[in-house]
Amino acid sequence: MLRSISRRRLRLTAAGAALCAGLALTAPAIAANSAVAASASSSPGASTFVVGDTDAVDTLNPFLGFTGQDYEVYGLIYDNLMDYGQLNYTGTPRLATSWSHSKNGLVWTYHIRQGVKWSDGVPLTAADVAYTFQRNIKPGSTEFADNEAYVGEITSVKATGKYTVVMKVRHYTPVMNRLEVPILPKHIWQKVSDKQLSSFKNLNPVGTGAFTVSSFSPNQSITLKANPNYWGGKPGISTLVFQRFDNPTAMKLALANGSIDFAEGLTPALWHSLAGTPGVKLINAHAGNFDELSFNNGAATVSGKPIGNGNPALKDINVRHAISYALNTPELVQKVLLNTGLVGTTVIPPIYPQFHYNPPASQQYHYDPSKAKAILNADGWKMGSNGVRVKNGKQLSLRLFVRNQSPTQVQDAPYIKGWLNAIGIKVTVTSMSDSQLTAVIGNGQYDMFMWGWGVEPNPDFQLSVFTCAQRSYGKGPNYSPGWSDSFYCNPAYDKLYHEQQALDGLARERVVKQMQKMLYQADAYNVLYYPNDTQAYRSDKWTGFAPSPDNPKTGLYLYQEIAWWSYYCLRPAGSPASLTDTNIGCGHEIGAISKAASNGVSGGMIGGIIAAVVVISAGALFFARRRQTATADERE
Amino acid sequence: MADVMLEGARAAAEERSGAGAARSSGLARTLSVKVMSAAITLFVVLVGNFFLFRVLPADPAKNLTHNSALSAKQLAAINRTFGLGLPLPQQFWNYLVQTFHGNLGRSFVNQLPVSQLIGQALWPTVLLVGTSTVLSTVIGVWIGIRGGWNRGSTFDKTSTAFVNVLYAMPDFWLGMVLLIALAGKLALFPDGGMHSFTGSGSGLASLGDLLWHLALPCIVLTLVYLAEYSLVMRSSLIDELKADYLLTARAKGLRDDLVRRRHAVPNALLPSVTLIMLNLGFVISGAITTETVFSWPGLGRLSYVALNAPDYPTLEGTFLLFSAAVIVANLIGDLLLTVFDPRVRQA
Repeated sequence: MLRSISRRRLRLTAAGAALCAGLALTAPAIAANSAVAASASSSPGASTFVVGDTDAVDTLNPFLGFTGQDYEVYGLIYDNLMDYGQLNYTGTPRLATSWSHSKNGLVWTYHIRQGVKWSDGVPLTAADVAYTFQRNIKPGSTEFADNEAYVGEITSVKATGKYTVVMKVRHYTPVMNRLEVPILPKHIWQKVSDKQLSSFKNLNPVGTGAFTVSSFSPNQSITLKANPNYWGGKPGISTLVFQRFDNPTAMKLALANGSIDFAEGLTPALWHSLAGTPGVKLINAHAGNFDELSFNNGAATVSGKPIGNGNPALKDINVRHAISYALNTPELVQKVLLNTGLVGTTVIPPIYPQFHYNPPASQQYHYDPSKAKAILNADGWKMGSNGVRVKNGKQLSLRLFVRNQSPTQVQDAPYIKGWLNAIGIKVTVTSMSDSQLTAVIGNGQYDMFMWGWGVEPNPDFQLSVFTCAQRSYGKGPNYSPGWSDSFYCNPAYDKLYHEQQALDGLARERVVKQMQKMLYQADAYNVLYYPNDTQAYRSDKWTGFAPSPDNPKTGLYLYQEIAWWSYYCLRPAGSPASLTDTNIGCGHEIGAISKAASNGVSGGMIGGIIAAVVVISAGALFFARRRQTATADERE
Repeated sequence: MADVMLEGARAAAEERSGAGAARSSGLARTLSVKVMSAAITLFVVLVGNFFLFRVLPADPAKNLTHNSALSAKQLAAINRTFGLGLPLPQQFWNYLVQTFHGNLGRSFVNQLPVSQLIGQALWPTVLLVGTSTVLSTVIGVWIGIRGGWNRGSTFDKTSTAFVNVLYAMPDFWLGMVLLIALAGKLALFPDGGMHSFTGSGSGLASLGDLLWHLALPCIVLTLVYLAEYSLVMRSSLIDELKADYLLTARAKGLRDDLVRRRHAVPNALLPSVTLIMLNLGFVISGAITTETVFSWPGLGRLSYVALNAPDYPTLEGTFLLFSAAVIVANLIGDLLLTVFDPRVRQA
């Protein structure tokens, strides 16, 4: 009895599995058919632009998002009061058409754009802007934590007219010219209490931006539709999709076969491998990042108490100089980054030319091992018999920590070790996780490590990292790390830091450059290189990109630094421009446009049909045989 | 691994067959002991889970925000939000209470409830690994039976060689090869993910779209795992070949085909059943590398991403789920053996 039941169950499972396998293989045919049907029914003007990235949107609540992809999408749904300009990051109006401040710089008046509608049809007024900022300035709230860099100095916000907002600040700050805070609709968000905020999913965001959300799978993909009521004109694409790839090779294949239109975050090797692919253009865009080799300049707490176990040799500026002259960073750019990066100098990347300080060639550290050796000799470091230098009985032996999450830094380490060995410095390389390295840095238990920073167009935060106040705090043995990862501390530098906070324009640029010069000469930190953002897109299908900064060869095409210019003017190759916003240099990308993509029966459909026929016949044979034996079984 | 499981199944069967006369009460006692020990194991996992993640060095708030401007005050606020400032015993008590209420905490990364993150990732993993387990079981057992019964035949030789190659093949490597060969230039299959963004069509079309995306990762997992089942099935069938009852069956005049299906296979199937049940527990923990190669939004990928952050609450949640799945599947496997093995019931 039991045996027969188990046999029937087995047969049932077998039938189910065969069915499943059959369906899996016939699926391409079905999918291809449905895709054909979809493209046939869509209107001729409709266009879908698909962006592949290794990152994805995980929440649509703008106060909770963390990833770069989150911010890329928030900027398309919501508008800020102003933008970082496409040409060179100067402030350009967005929802605020103009603004001014009182003589003492403590009262700021913003004039809000008229005739703008939320995506649900409700008109935007100054009340929405005031509500957004009032929500953001409550100290201790999630909103404040998210936007403190912009709203930290604001004490009050008031809508004084239908289209006028007045804000008061504690101290004058140029940040009031760059309020990168998404403006939210009061009629939606006032229903979300502080307590509800962290669980509010915001699945149907109402914004004033160029796009609205059409469908969203957290951590996988998001589909946006052009907002027909967008105040800046109708975007040139009707649908915009962001698709996540965990496997960068798969993303590269998808771009090569045309199933996506733009690839972000390709590794240098994959990016190079796309060269020569018909219809694909490669962008070696300069980005606002740098990777550094950091030194332990003398770890201490904010109160000046020394902590950790850094090798005291690195407190000696001559040792740091010797190291800087021993590094052949152009070779790292060439061999590790495969030429997708620039040799580094100072902590504000050259993508921000008004703030970047480029030391004169004569003062730059360059690869010169004999000079490095001479510096060490003069400093009293005698070469030992084992090839390691010694001073006062102590060996020049340093630890180098690298992040196991960064393949490029792991590759850099052996080069650096070799160069330092050559001048008589012993190096022990250890690779560790980000969390472990953060703790190690906070406790000052390192000599050298490699990490990097992403630098915003406003240099304030990056400069603050080197102030005395950013050293560790709290009590040992586990000190709370500040932002300082060099323990550089110089009262003259701190003074300049506070000075630039109250300046704007040329005066501020001058101070910012002076601060970088100070850091560079002190050799507190060796900025090895500025890695590029390697992007690629289907130039046979798309045109209209607005690179930022406005340079077709080195500008970012998408994923721009706090800006979204290209999305507004992207359009299918051969179609006319439709955007009315003249602030944007639409269509400034490399070269001319080649022929449009051909339409034909997809390979997927043919393959699917072949697979379906094979599986169905195999399945039929299988079942026929089973039935035959089953009858024989009954006969027994 | 397979051998150990095989031994275990045998031992369990023998232990139960010697259970004695008071069968029903003995069975009930065995069952309650099994269930109790599973519950205790689960609790130990729960406790270990909590402390394991607390001994790791990290300041999550600092680590998560490495690149943005946050003051010490704000970091303290983040720590407060996640309950990280509390003394350890207090944190542990909160953890226990919350877990029993089905609240697995909130992700350090995006502040979403962990139960929600797991909920989103559970179905894709169950679909992918579940389908491939069924396929690999059926195909693997079938190959094992055919090969074992006609030991030394051409089919046996070729299938054993083929299966050994598959057994030695890393799933991510096979995945990359198939991806490049079939999804690249040919574009017969999608490059990853679970749905086409355009696939918001009718029910049938969207099912087709899902299965189209499922095909490649499912084929990879099936090929790699069918090897294990076929090897175990083959060897246990060969063990049965010389048994006396097969001689008896043949002496009765049964066709060879029937001797195999009615007598040999049911006996040889027991180790495979145990193995399948044990593997079912791992279904839920997914196939991390395969999910990553094909961007499949399942549990394996969820825990991989959480590990990189590191996102303790999400890791704790997924680890707890994985452990619970293995423990429960083991329990079910033990219980099922009493159904599948006549010796247990007749004892």
